[in-house]
Formats: sequence, C-alpha cells, structure tokens
Amino acid sequence: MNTVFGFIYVVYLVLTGLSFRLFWDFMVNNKSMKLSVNMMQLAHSFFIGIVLTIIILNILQLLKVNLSDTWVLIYMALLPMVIILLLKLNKTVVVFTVSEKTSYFGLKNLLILVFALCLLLFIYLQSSKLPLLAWDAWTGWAAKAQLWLIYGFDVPLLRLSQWVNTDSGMFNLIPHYPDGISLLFYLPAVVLGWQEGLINIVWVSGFFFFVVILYHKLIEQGASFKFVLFLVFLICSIPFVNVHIVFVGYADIWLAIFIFLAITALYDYCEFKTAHNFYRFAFYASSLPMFKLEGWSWLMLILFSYVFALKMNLRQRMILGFGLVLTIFIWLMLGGFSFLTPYGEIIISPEQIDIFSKFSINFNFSNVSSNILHALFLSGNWSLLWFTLPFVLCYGFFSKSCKQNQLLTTFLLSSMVGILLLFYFTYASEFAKDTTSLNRIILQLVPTYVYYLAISANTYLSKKSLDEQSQNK
Amino acid sequence: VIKPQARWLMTMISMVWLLAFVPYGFNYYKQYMWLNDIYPEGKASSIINMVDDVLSDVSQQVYTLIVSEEFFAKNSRVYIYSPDRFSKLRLNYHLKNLNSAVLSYMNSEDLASSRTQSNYLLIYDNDNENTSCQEKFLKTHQLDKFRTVYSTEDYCLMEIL
Repeated sequence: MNTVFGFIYVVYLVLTGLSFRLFWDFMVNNKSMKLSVNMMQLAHSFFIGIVLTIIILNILQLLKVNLSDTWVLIYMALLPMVIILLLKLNKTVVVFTVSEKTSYFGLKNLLILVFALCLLLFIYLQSSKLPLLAWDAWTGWAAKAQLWLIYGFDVPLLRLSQWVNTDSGMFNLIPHYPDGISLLFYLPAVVLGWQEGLINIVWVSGFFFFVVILYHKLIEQGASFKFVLFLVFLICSIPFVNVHIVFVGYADIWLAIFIFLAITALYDYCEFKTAHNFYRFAFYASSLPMFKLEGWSWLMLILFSYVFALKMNLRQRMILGFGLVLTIFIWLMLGGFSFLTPYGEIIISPEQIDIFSKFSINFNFSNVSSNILHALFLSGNWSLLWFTLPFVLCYGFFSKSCKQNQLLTTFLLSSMVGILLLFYFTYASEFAKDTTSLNRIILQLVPTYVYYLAISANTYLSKKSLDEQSQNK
Repeated sequence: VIKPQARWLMTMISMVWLLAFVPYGFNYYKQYMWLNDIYPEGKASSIINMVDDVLSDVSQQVYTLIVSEEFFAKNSRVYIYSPDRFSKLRLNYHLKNLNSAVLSYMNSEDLASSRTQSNYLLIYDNDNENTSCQEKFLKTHQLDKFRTVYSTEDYCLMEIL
C-alpha cells in the first residue's frame, strides 16, 4: 500500500511542477493555446515540484503556520488545480508527446524509457522492503520530520548545548542543516501519519527522471541509439549510486542530481542565451543549498566556472592564476596575518582561517592518497567509471571544444581540485580514511561527470566514424 | 599503432563494462534474496536490525515507566547515555514522543531538574557483564542526587533530583 501512496506523492510532485511550468509558459512567455508536454518536461516538472514544495513549506514554517492534515490536503490539491483550471478557462490545450523528436525517435525513445524503467524497477524491488537504514535519515532528516509531526511544524529544533540551556524546543542532531529532505518526508506524513517506506519510491523516481533528462540531452547532442542505451545501463549499474537509491534517506543523490540540472541548464544558456534557459539555471542553482550545506560550495564553484570559462579572456585568466599563486606564496612565506575588528578577530595563517569565529577552518596536511586511489579504483564502488578519467582530462585539455564544453571542463577540474584540497589539508581527511564520506562527496559530482564523459565520447566517436567514412570513400 | 574502428571501440568498452558488472549483478541478486529473508513481512518496518529490536523493546518499557511517574510533565526531559553510539542514537529515535536528547559525554551539571517536572537519565550499557548497568555507570561517573526508577543489567532509568 505504501508503494501506491508513494506513487501518488510522486504524481503530485510532477503535477505541481507541470502546472507551474504550464502557468509560467502561459503567463510569462505568452505562448499559443496549444502546449505540448513530453517526457523530458515531465522529468523537469518532478524536480520543479520538489523545489516548489520545499519553498512553500519553508515559507509556511517561517510564518509559523501549523499544518493540519485537512489544510495540507487542500494545499496539495489546490496548487495544480487552480493552474489547470486557469488554462482550461483560456481554452489552452495540453498535448502529451513521448519526445520532441517523435517523428524519427519515437519507438527508440520508448525502448530506452522501458529499459531504464526495468533497471530501476530491479533496484526498487530491493528498496521497497527496507526500513530507514541510512544514518543521515533516522538521526537527522526523518527525525526532524517526526519531531514536527509530534510537536508542531513550528517547534524550534536545537543542538544539545542550546537545548540544555532553554525550556522550549526539541533536540536534533543537525538543526543547522537545511530542511529540504526533511520537508519531503514531512508532507505525506501529515496526511497519512508516519508510514515507513512510503518515501522510498520518491528516491527511485528521482533517479528515473534524472536518467530521462540525461538520455534526452544525449539525443539532442546527436548520440546514437546504442550509445544512449549503453549510457543508461552505465549510470544505472554504478554500485555506489544504487546504494544511495536503495538506502533511502541520504541527501547526496539529490544534491548530485540538482548539480547536474543546474550545470546542464547553464550549458544550454551558454549555447542559446534565452530567458527560459537562464530562469531554469537560476531555479536549479538556487535550490542547491536547500538540500545540504555543501550546496553553497557547489553553487560558488558553478558561478566561478561560468565566469572563468565564459567571461574571462586568456590575459584575465593568467592574472587571476598569478594572483592566486602569489597570494598562496605570501600566505605561506610570511605566515599570514591577524587583526582585531569591532566584530571580532580575523586570522588568516597557514594553520587556520578564522573570520569573527563564525567561519573557522584548520589546515593540517594528511597523506590520504592511498584512501582516495582505493576509493576511486579498487573498492568496487564505482565499477570502472573513474578509469575513464585520463581520457576525459586529455580530451578536455587537448581538443578544440566549444565554450559550453569549456564550462564543464572548468567545473569538473575546479571541483576535483576542491575535493582534493579538502581531503588533503583539512580535518575532512579523517572522513577520507573511512571512505564512506569520501565516496559521498564524489557521488555529488558523478551525474555531471557521466554527462561530460558521454558528450566527450560521443563527439570523439562521431568524429572518428566520419574520418573512417571519408577514408573509405 | 592500434587504431580500432569507432564501432569496435564502443563494443569493446561496452563489453568490458558488462564484464565488470557481472560479479556486482550476481552479488546484488544474492543481497536481494538475503534481504527477503531478513525483512520477510513484505513491507518496511521501523526496526532496522536485531540490536534495534532489543532497543525498541527497551524504549517501549522506558516510555511506559516515565509516563506513569508522578511528576512527569509534557516538558520533562530524558537524557540518554550509552557507551555505544548506535544504541543511544536509536533509543533517542524510538523515544521521540518524549523530550529526549543524547549525551555525548556525561556532565552532571547539565542535568538540572525541578520539582514541578521530573527529568530523567536513561543509561544503556549492554556489555554482557554480570553487574547491573547502574553500578557500572556510578563507578565511572559522578551523580549525587538521583532516584532509581528502574534498573536491569542492560539499562537503568533514574530521576534526577
């Protein structure tokens, strides 16, 4: 029964996102009376539905609105209904199509879709029976949702030090983390009560819709049917990815998908500078911090990559690089500096960076090379995925690629440098030694990496194929 | 120099990936059968393993004991302490209906109480030794004012005075 309720919840998320998209098209773009909807749009609608649900519930929480099950039902039904009614009143026709390129890719598109569904159904067979096994879920995300259910949506959640010194509020291990995943747990629980396993289908659906977007993007790039089919199998057969779909409750897989959505929206914006692409990028990029605190770092990396790859010329890049090297040199040689301000002390030294005691990070080199190599190549978590890294790096450096590919190369390289700096020079080295946290941060990059790998391989193979054909002639 | 044709290159890569998948796929299937044995109900429950089954029972007993106490109030607090991280976190998860928190270390100054409401300390120490949980705890920790509500070898519940 939970599968059915979970499926209804997924349909609700799709409808919410879809009605918002149709409304946006209708109101902002003032499109014609016929709006077509394809699988790619349904997939995007699901993710838009998730972000909208989180934003709306965050606002209600901020306004201290205590949700009862009746109000939630009204809210859940109202949002899509009002928009669909609005479209009906304006005699707008919504047409469903399998693909934008139905005429020549319809059947093959359907085959890929069924193949992806079968692979994910195999994963869901395992996931559907499992309780909340993920530590992050039952200690943090789900625990927050359960506390809201019992003590009210507006109950303050506190750390132990705060909880001990105050009379109101409830203890939670991660009150400082964003509430995105907890709110996804919370909404169906207000209506049905806490149902273990109900949310499981949302995780597998999220991954299914990601696969749909990935293969549609590859079709747009001109990839062949066999190539797309292989890529779908590849992404669905990476062991660590499967673990994060089966063990429901980790936020990393969502962050990974939304990083992919934001970076591909920016990729499209670089290719076609339309308002639609820009809004899509802004929407997905701003949703990153709703899932995990790391979302802020990823957001900054995406913006940095955009400025570096598309807004800077070679001279500006050289100046930036030189400035960076000089800063690090002075910082290490002169031993840094510290000074007192009315707001607190600022310390920037080779040992630590401390800004007003609000942001503090200590540096200490740890050699975690063997842990990183083991995690990427030997642990079996990633199958053979990271063995493709030399090809991708060579291709990124030596091929004459377009601006949007340069954006992806910059993003992937800066992310990898960031991850390595984090694990070699900060306390995070401890997490690298237990390999789980290391793999989880790598997971956040995997969908974007697979996309980059796919378009690089597709371009390389197409070029090679064309060369062979011209030689044969 | 070996220069394979594009389609052969694609076929080779696919085959290698498929070969790497075979042991994982086989293992995945075994895991699926194994999970069928562990969770035979056909639907997810709130118990995650056998240790958690015991902890769930303990938390139900603790809940019944606390709510039947004379000075129990809605804002009464339950501090949970255990040398085992999993046990204390799971107990906190099961006792979400009470105002509970896990202590990472014992600081008796944190455990303030008043007579308008009672605050409780739950200690769980299941190390199979032949002494009571409370005795083991008091040998290593300073706690002066308390009343024992219930005590077994594995856990003890104390009201902080």
